[in-house]
Amino acid sequence: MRKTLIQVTAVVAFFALWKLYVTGFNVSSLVLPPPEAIAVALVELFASGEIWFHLYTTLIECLGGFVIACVVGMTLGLLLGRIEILDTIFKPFVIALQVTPKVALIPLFILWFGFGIESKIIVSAVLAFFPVFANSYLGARSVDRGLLELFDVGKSGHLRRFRILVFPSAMPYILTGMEMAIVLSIIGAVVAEFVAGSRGLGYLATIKLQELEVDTLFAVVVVLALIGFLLYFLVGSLRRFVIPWHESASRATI
Amino acid sequence: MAELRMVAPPDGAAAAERADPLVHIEGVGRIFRSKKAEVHALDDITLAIRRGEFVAVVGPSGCGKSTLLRLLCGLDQPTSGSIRWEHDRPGHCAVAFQEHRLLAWRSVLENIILPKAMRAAPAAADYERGRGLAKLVGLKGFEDTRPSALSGGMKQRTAVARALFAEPDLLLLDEPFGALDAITREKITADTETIWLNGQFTALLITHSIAEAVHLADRVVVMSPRPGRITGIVPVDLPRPRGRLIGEPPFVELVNRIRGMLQEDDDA
Repeated sequence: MRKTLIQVTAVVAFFALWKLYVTGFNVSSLVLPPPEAIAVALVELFASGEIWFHLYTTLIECLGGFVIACVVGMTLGLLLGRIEILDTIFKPFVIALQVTPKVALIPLFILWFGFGIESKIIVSAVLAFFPVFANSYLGARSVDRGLLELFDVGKSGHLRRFRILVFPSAMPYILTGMEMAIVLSIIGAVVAEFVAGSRGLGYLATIKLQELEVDTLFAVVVVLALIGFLLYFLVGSLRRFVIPWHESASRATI
Repeated sequence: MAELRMVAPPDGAAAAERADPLVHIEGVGRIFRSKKAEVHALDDITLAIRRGEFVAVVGPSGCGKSTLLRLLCGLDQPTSGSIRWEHDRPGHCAVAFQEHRLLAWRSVLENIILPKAMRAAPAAADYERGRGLAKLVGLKGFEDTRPSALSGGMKQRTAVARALFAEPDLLLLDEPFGALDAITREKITADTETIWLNGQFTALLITHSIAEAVHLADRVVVMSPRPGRITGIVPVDLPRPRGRLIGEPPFVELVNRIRGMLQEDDDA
C-alpha cells in the first residue's frame, strides 16, 4: 500500500515536472508537447477510429513473428541442445545469424517477401528468434543428470524421454526466452514498418512525423508501449499456468 | 577376526547360490583414469545375489559401494571381471537413489508410475497399481500432491514406491534414507522390511548405517576403501521382523562385529 503510494506520487511528479519544463522554458510543442496534449491526441486517435486498422496490423505482425520465433526457436534449441551432431552442424549458422545486425537484413526480406505484412512478420520473427533459441538450448542442456540416469536405468526411449523429461525441464527456460522474444517481436514489426510500411503503428508514427503532428506521434508511441506492456504481461503470466510447479511461477521475471 | 575375511555364506545358502544366482559378480574391478591419477574404485569384487535375497553393503565413503550399484544397473561398465545375470539376460533393475530424483512437475502418483510412463503410455491398471503402492509406502491421500509440498521422508517414500512399481529383478537402494532424521529413518527402514517380507523381491541396499544393514539384510557385505574390496560377508540369522530386536543383545552383537571389521580396516 505504502509502496503503491510512493510509485503513484513519483509518476505524478514526473508529469508535473514535464509540464513545468515545457511551459517554464517555453519549449516548442514541435519538440516536446506538454503531457496533456499527448493525452488529447491519444483520445482523438481512438475516437476518430484512425488507429484501429494500424493497431490491428502491428498486432498481427508481431504476434505472427512471435509465434514463428517460438516454434522454430524452441524446436531448434531443444534439438541442438540434446543432439550433438546437429549442434555441431548448425551452431555456426545460428551464431552467424545472431551476430549479424538483423535490421540490416530488412531490405533483403522486403526483396524476398514484398512490401506487405509478410516481410514484417519475418523481420519480427528473426529478431525474436534468438532469445527463444538460446534459452531452449540452455534448458535442454540443463536437464538434471540424476534424472537422465533414472531414465537410462528405466530404458526409456528417446521420444518419451524428450516428452516426459527434457521438454518439461526446459520449460522454465523456454518461457524466459519467450518473455524476451515478445518485446523484440514488437520492435521487429515496428522497425520493418518504418522502413517499408504502408500501414501499422510504425508507419503511422513516420507519417505523423512528416505531418509534424508531434503530439500524435507521442500518442502512437504510448500505444506501442501499452501493447508491449500488455503482451509482456500476458506472456509472463503463462508461467502460472504452464509451470505451476516451478518456483518462478509466482513472480514475474522483472 | 581374521577368518571373517574369508567368511562364506552358510552351507545351505551356498548351495542355493550355486543353483540359482540372480546375478553373479565375478572378479569385477573398476578403475577411473584421469590424466593425473588412477583410482581403483573397485578391486576384484566377487559376489552372488540370489533371487529373493536382501543384501546390504556397508563401508566407509569411497569404498566403491555406489560404483558397484552403478555397474549393476548398467550406468557404468567394469574395467575387469564380469557381471553375469540369470539366463544370460541383463536383469531389469530399479534404483532408489540417495537423492529422491522425483520429477517436480508430476504428482506423487505420476512419479510412482514413471517406470511405465517412460516406456509406454500408462493404462488405467497402472494408475491403480500406483495407488496401491502409494498406500503401501504410507502416502495414501497424497497421490495428487506435487513433490515440492512433501517432506523429505515422503519424497523418499515416493522414490521407493516408484522403484517398486518397476517390479525389477533387482531393487537397488542407494542409501535412500541417508538424508533423513533418525526417527523417520528407523520408521521407513521398518516399513521397508515389511514390504520386502510381503513382496519377496531381491534387493541390494547400500548404506553407511550398520544398524540399518543388520535390520534389513540376509547378508551384510563389508567393504574397505582404496581400493574398494570386500573384506567380509556376514550372514544375519535374526528372526524377522527385526524392528523389536534393535537394541537386543544378538542385534547389537552383530552390529558391533561389523563395526569391528570396519575399524580393523581403518587401523590397517
